[in-house]
Amino acid sequence: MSRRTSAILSALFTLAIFVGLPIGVLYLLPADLAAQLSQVGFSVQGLLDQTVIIGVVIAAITIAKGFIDDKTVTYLLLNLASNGITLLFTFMVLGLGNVGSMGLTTVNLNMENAETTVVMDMRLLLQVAVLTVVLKMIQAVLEWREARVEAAQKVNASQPGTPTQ
Amino acid sequence: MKSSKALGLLLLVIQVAGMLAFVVSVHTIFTVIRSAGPDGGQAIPVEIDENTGMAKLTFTMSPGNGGFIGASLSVQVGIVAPDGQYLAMNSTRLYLDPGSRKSLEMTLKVPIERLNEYAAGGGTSLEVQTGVRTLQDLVGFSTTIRAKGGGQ
Repeated sequence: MSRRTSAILSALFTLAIFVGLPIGVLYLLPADLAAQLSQVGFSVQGLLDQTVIIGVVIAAITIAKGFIDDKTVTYLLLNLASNGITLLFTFMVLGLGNVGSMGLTTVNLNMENAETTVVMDMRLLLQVAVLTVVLKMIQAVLEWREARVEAAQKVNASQPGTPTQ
Repeated sequence: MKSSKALGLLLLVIQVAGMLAFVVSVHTIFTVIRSAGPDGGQAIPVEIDENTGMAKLTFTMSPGNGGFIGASLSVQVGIVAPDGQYLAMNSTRLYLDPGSRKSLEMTLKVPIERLNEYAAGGGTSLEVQTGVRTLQDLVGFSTTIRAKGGGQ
C-alpha cells in the first residue's frame, strides 16, 4: 500500500472516530440526560464540537503527511503538530471539556436543597500523557533525521567519490 | 537497533502501562465509592440525651474494595452553619485492600438546639465528604454533598 493510500485510509479512520462517533453520540443521547449534564456545568455539545474540530485537523494533517516527502522540514513540523494536538485532546477529555483544569476536574451540581461537588484528580494520567507526547516528538525528530541520513547515504552510494559532510 | 525504534518500544510500554493504570484506578475508585453509602439508606439514627442537651448522630457504612489495587477511603461528616462554620465535625480514613470490606461507624455530637435549627431549615446544612485515592494516592475522586435542613 502506498504512503498516500495509507494516509487517506488513516484520515478516514480518524474522521470516523473523531467526527462520526460524536455525531452518533449527539443523535443517540437522550435529551433529558443532556439537560441533566448541562445542569452540572458539563456541555456535551461543547465537548463533542471540540472533538470534531480536533478530528478534522488531525485528519487534514494525516493526509498532508501522506503527500509530503518525509525528509522535509514541513513533514517534521506536521508530525510535531499532530502530536501536540493529540496532547490537547487528552487535556480536553480528562478535563471534561475544560482544557485548563490540568487533570483536576471539578463538577458542581446544585439542586433545590442540596449541592454536590465532585472532584476528579487525574493529574498523574495527564503527566503520563505529557511524557508520552514529548517522547513521541523526540521519536519524530529521530525518525526524520534517520530518513535524511539514509537518503544521503543512498545518494553517496550511487555517486562514489563524492565527499561526505 | 535504530534509536527511533528503541524509543518506539519504550513508548509502547509507557502507553500500555498508562492505559492499564487508568483502567485499574478508575475501576477501583468506583467500586469503593459505590459501596461507601450509609447503611440503611438515607435514615441516620439520632439519640437524644436530655441531661447533657446533646444529640448523637450515628453514621454507619460498610465500604468494600472490589478493585485490583488498594485504596484509601476518607469520610467526613459535619453540620455546617449558614456562615460556613462547622458546628460539629468528625472524620476518619481507612485503607481497603483489594477484595476487602470493612465496617465504619462515626458519631457526631451536636447540641439539640443546633439539630433543631437544622431540622427547621434556616441555612444549616449536613455535609458528607467521601474521598477515594488509589495507585499510591496518585489518583483520586471525591464527592461533597451538602444537604440543607428543613426536609423530612
